[in-house]
Amino acid sequence: MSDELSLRPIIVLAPLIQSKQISPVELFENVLERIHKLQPTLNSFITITEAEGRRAATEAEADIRNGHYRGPLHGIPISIKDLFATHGVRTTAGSKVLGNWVPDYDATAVVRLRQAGMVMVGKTNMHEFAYGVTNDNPHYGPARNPWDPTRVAGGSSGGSGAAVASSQCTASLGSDSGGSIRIPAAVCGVVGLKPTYGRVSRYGAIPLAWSLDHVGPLTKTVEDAAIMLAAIAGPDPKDPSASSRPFPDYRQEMRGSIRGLRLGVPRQYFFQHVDPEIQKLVSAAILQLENLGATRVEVDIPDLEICSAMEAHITLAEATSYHEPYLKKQADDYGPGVRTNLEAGRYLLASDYVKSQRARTLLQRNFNEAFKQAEVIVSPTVPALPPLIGEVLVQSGGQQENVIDAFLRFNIPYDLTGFPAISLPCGFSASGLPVGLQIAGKAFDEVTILRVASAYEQSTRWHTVHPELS
Amino acid sequence: MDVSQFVSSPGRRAWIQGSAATLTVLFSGSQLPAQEAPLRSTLDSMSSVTGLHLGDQWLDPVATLVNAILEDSKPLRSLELGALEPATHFTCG
Repeated sequence: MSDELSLRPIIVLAPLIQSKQISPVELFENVLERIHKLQPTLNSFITITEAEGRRAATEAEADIRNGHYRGPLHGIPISIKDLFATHGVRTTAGSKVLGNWVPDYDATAVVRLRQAGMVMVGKTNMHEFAYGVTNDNPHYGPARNPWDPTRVAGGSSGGSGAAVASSQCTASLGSDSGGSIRIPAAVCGVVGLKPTYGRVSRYGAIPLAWSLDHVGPLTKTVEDAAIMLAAIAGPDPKDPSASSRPFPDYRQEMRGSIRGLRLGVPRQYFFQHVDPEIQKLVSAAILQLENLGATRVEVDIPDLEICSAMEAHITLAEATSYHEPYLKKQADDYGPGVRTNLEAGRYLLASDYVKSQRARTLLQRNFNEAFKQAEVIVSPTVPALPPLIGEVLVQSGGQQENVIDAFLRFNIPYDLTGFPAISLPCGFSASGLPVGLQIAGKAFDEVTILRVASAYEQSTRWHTVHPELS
Repeated sequence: MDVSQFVSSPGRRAWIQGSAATLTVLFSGSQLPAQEAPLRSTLDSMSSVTGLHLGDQWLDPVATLVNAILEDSKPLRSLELGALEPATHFTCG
């Protein structure tokens, strides 16, 4: 089997698997060889599930041979962020605290991916307890960026972003509470979709902040993201926040022209202090969307300057609450950064927490006003290029900024409102680092953001470029 | 790295990333900027409220972080929200 096949997305592999032109077992072994070759350099995985993956691939091959093809994810090598419970497979959440935890159940999203026939290749590296944006993990080592392994892969789903970008899997399951799907997608040059809050069950995902956590895919193409979303979306009695609202055939509904569609370009916040190379590439992407027939509309979205404080109050309070039992017994097992955040969560005021939750309603209203004038809102995903591993400051358009502030800035409005947002590649910096375009939409309107993203993607070649890895 | 440069990003909070370099500076006994010293003392005295005593090793970085968040919270705190209720995402679906 050609090594090239491991570089291909779901939409290319699925018909070849269905028609038995390629075997899930051969594809798995191909990908596994790649994982073993790249793991020492990129450190994308905490656990490689070789035996389980081989078993799943063998079963998929037999099922398909017997005419029981389940759909486009059947036989596809997929990695799972180590945040999600996987039955019989160690699940660490990137931590020492849970370093020996072997769940006896699967997260709902994992159940659904297994039902769709996925071949799980491993549990990906992540920022400890999802509580950061670089995946510089003190217990398992940093996840490294495939485009420049001296740089961060983003976080917290950094291992997932790096694994998809370097074709150590075809797709990955991630989570996003402050950008943790979209940040690694942007800095690793892949697609990352944060669906509407409640679109995908959070059951079985170790929480960072219950009211901010979202589950979604990282993939090679936009259509792949639609396929993954269709597999994992839907109600779940085990998650009271999971929506029972019906969802469409994303793959079908996302097709079509974007002629006449209105692109909202915010006047405030989203284009402030942006690296000039990122600004140039995102502006070019917006122009490309206009060339495809969309109409640019400037929109006002007030009050966004309160987002960072809101995110801090909500995340710190909810995370500290979840970790309280662990802090009593295993405080010294936390990395210093996460431990500091957790301890700080005890000292913030309940009144600030509640005000932050109330202000989310205000932000939703402000965004919905903007959505009366535009179907989607576009922006950079992050304002700065990824720093070297260990660096805490980045350059964001003439100002030096903490990497956490920078990477959270354009992402947190959509975690706070719960509205869906996707990041996809829109070019490369002069130094060869990928840049992400973010497209956000109304609640439960994943179809429109997928349509816009796909129209842009299909008119460019960014998704066909792969990192050179020796 | 100079602590004040790190924690005083203008108008923005400065979360402690956890990088070894950052925490080496903070734990090396560098003096906190003036505005954080009273906060350190306040946090220390809150053990009767929290029920926990935060050791010396953690008081400085936690005080730094809390101070940064409080600075960043000024626009939020001054915002009038009227009768607006918390967003309950259960209403989405």
